[in-house]
Amino acid sequence: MTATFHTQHPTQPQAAPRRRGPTSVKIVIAGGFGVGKTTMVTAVTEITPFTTEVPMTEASLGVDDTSIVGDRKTHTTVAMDFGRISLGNDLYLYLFGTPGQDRFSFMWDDLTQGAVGAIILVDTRRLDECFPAINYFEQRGVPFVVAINCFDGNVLHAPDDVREALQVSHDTPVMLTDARDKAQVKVAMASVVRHAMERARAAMNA
Amino acid sequence: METLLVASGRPPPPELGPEARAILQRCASPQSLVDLSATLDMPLGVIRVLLSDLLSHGLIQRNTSDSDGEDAVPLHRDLTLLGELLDGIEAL
Repeated sequence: MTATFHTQHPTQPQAAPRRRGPTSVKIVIAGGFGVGKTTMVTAVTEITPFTTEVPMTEASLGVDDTSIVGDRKTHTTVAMDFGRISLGNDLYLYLFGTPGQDRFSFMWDDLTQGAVGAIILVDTRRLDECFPAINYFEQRGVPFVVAINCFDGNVLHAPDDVREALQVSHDTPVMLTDARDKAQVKVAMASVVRHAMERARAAMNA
Repeated sequence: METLLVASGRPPPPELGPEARAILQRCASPQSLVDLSATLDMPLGVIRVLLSDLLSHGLIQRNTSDSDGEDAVPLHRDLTLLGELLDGIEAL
């Protein structure tokens, strides 16, 4: 099944595990509240993003006042976006939008575990809102790209200016995007996969 | 969250509840935890519990391709798979 791809990477024919059966990979879409994460997932997914519910954890203690609903309140509703794209050959790509609110950051570990990489969606009018996401992925060594969402086609800042303002490393791709446009979302997704491949290659040669 | 699950084809025991049966039915094709939660409109926690029952009874199988030996490259850092992913995205 993977034989055709070995020809592209002739230097490491035995390193790759053979795929047996359906395989899923995921890309995380992060960014501040209302920056367009749901829009981005919706632009490319085959299924409708949804809302689900997760158990409350200690992260919500002292934040969510449960005294008014009693001790039995153990679940809280969290809006979580996800999308699924079938790429053929039993390969499925999942996109997960991180919950925008800070207090749901405990969910990020679950979402990020095993992710190929992340797209950090940025609104240049509220640049500071993406800092938590950048710190999070930098600390965990998760490859990420920065995609500046151009609402209504307005380019307010050049990618290089944004790169400087965010102080991300020079090899981190920074690009303009339109979260509503499937073709542009594809470019962002391809960019994060390429970036992850560069990182994986660098790690192998290290 | 996104690990794919497939029904093993083993016949379900008669005492299996309707929710578990619904999961089993959906898993005729590969489904993840989040897919099941979305399509069956059940919270993730509930799906998790039902799935662990189904798994322990051998009615559902988990994709095992990422458990190939201890020093296997994790799937999300596997260049072959990433190459396939990139081709797939560009062909969308």
